[in-house]
Amino acid sequence: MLVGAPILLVLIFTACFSSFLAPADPIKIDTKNILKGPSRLHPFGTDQIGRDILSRVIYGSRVSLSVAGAAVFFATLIGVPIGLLASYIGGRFENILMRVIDVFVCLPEIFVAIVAMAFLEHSLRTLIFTIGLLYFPQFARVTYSVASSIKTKDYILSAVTLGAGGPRIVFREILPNMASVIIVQISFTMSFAMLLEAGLSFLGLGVMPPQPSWGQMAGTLKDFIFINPLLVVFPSVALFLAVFAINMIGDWLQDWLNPEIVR
Amino acid sequence: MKTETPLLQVEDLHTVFYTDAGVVKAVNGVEFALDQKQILGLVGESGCGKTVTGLSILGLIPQPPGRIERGHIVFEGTDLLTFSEKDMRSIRGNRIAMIFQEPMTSLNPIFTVGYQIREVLHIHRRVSKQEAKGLTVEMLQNVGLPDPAKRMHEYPHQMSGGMRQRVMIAMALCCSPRLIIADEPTTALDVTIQAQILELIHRLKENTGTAILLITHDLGVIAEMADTVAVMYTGSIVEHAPCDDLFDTPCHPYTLGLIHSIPKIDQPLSETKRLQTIAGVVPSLLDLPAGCSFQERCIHVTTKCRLNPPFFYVSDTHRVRCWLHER
Repeated sequence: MLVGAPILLVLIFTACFSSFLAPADPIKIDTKNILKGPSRLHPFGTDQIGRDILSRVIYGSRVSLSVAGAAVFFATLIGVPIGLLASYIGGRFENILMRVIDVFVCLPEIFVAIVAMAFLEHSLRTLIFTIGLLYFPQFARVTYSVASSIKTKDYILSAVTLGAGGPRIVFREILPNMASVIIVQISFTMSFAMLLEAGLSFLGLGVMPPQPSWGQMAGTLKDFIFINPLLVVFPSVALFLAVFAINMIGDWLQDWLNPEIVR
Repeated sequence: MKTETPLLQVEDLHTVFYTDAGVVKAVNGVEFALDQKQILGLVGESGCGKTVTGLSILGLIPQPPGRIERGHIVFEGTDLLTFSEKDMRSIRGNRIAMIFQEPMTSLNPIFTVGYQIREVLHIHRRVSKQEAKGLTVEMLQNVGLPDPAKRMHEYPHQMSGGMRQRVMIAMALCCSPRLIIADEPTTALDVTIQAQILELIHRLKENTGTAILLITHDLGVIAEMADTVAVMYTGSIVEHAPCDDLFDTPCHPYTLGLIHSIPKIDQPLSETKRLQTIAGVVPSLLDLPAGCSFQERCIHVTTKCRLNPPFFYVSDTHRVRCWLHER
């Protein structure tokens, strides 16, 4: 937490105020200064067509955070209701629904993402929906299993005997009791989503140039590793720090939000 | 208002569970009546259908696998078994409330107790926020929770078992139900707290006039609390009598066995220095013997016990299901 939170805060800050923080225009081409190392004018150097890498890294935080955030939001929005529904309705419906979810879980992430990005309209929206679709089954599963265990608790029965109806049981009794689990799941999925976006962009299937993204920058700059090996390090380190920070926060949340621990 | 019909009348109730192993007859023709301001004690050992009877009244038998096969549960003149789930919801907590055995786990851990009581008030009574707050303090005061205005902002884990049970009772009482089903309300508490809680239930009954169906396996609790007692065995009532009659002149061999298996403070133990036990085990509810279900453990068993005994009346209010009392 002590390490993760400041990094994430800085990241969110840079994402929000990219246009003020970036020293140069991230898509401005300068053919006279290509693949230059760090200098006063370009602290992180310039890429193969002379764009300022620091500015691109700063703007890249925007893409990374927003794609991961939106994808996880989307996954939560679909996954959690499905899990609750399956657990609450039960019976055959539960079985069919969860088996369908199992099929989704089996899909290989990168492969599906490649296919989706190759055949569908190539845009940020497609990227977000694809990543969201890949991660919603995990939300459904986690929600389902925790809800099923909460469902058998005595306080649920006592709520029923006090006259609570179905929606009240689900939204006022079960859901609040699993909020911590969902929050932890969100934070971990966030870092997975960020890595997947970077991976796809690295392969040239995610965020399209000239829009900067850390994965895509690393993918491009790796080709020039023998000319200037330092350049590829900057976007990679940014990605590493972001994922590391989110994971740290996830770990900390998991310890802190454990429902058995005293508030 | 005086009415001839009792508050709750259970007639010929049969609740069964369809399991993989077969049909479990958990409740087998239970019938009893309960008047206002009365406490009926339902005793019996584990698995004899006490709790299932209580849950059947509230319509909380999980279906499937459970099913109420036959019978009527007439509450305030209407048969609860004909009610829809929606109608039952307005009965639960409002007209009939239930207190559970486990106060430690029967409260939602993430809300304050005050919030949980207010929620019940909100569902059933539609009172304003301010009113609900006042009522909550009042309810907690009634159940003897110290410093209720402060305590209502606490979470269940900050309270002891006895205090949580008081909160559960406050929740059960907050809509002034006509009937409270108390399922082993003191089993999970230690003895001094048990006495306090029983005292509390007794006092609240006197004040509010609710009827109480007290489910327990503790004859001591029954002797203390109940007006009438129904002894259950394998899903049916074997003896039903006013409390004093039952302890003075127990008639069914099973009741006798239960009473003899408790150490008495004023009677020295027999020369063997052992408590008497009831020989044998309870027959499986999957496969009940024909006739009296106690026959295999009974010392007075006769060939007649192959037939199912009806109720025989020892007195006007004392009835027993045993051929020994045939007249």
